[in-house]
Amino acid sequence: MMNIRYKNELILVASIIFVLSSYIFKYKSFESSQELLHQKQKEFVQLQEVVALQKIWSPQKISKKLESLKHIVPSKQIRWDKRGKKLTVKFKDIDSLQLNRILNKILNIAIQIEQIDISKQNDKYTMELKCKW
Amino acid sequence: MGNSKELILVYKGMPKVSLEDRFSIVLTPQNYILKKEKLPIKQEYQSKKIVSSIFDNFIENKDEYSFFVYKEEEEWIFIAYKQQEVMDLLEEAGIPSSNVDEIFFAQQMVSSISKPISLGDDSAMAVINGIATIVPKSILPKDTVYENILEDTVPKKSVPLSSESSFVTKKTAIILSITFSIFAILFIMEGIRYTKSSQQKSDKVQEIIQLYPSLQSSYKRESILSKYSRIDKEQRSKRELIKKLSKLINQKVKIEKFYVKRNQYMVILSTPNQNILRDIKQKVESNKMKVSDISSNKLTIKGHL
Repeated sequence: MMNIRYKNELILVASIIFVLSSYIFKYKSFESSQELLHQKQKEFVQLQEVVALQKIWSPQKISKKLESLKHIVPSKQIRWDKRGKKLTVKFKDIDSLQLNRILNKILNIAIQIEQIDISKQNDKYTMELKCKW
Repeated sequence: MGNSKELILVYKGMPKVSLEDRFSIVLTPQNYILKKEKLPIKQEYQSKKIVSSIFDNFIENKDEYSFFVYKEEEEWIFIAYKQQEVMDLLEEAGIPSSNVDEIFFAQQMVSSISKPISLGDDSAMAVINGIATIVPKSILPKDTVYENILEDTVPKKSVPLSSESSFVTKKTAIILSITFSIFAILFIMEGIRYTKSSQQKSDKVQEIIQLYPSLQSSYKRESILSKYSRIDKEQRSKRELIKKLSKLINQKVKIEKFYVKRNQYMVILSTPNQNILRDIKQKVESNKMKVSDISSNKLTIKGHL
């Protein structure tokens, strides 16, 4: 083995350079990974949110669920007008119990309520609902 | 240790040497103190522990000395020498310490020294009672034939020449280097772990994008998110309003009129009882809704979602 002057110091300096370089590597990895992690975390949360919102407000088989509104009151009291993904429905001469059931039903279907108009005449109600999905 | 090293016997007053190759040196008794002891110890590490005390009455300032121990048949040989003295000697002889590999001691070669070895004009080194000793040439017969040190008989054990310019001992350098290297390896492993963890998150995002390829573009995602967030907020407000109102309605409180359109709403509630009307007003206000009109039996609520 070569006997170099300051051999011990050289070994020490080399190991210090090694440890410093690896610390810089760790630090840079940490910084870049944190940045990337933050960015990816944001992207991940955004994606999850988009997917969840899409599932809530653009659900499948919504027409079928809306059809159940027809069973709450007799058909002669309903005026049903469905065009594509839009519905206008009018319930006439319904009592408070029926009104309550209709409202509960609407609240539990993921439709986008555009308008609700309820009027009372002689203890009977008229309700108009405009919605889309 | 190899057996074909070039050995140079160094002694006080030696002629200048000019060598470029690497070599080892042999110290004469001029530069070391020797004690030969028969001790009940078997292992070398045990002898190293007591080496300092062996020289208790022989040397002062023990810190200046380095020690060397080896076993010669049944006896232990303890040698004390000063590194600084060796360095000075090398300098006097014009030998660069950086060219010196190892230090040997003449005592290690006694078995191969059959004749005295000349150490300048006045002194010689001879083996007396098995110990390499410095003797004046004047006491030796005039026809004494001196021999050179035998390069073929390089002893097994040696000590490294620690350069005077070295600030760190070899042991310290090795310990620190190992420590630093362990830390370095840990830092590298941690760095790799950080890189992998961010990669795992990227993979999760990629998985979702593979399921919904239409969401690949961030602009599209933001547009969809903005659209659905607005819808979500509006629809939740509308449903919340209906739930709040339904809590106000009972057998004595009837709904006369209710409409909600875009972000506006209006409700008219009726009750025959004035006290109930006041209660409803309180409840409405506690629900952060605004009563816009109140008459003898009707209460109107208007507001924005």
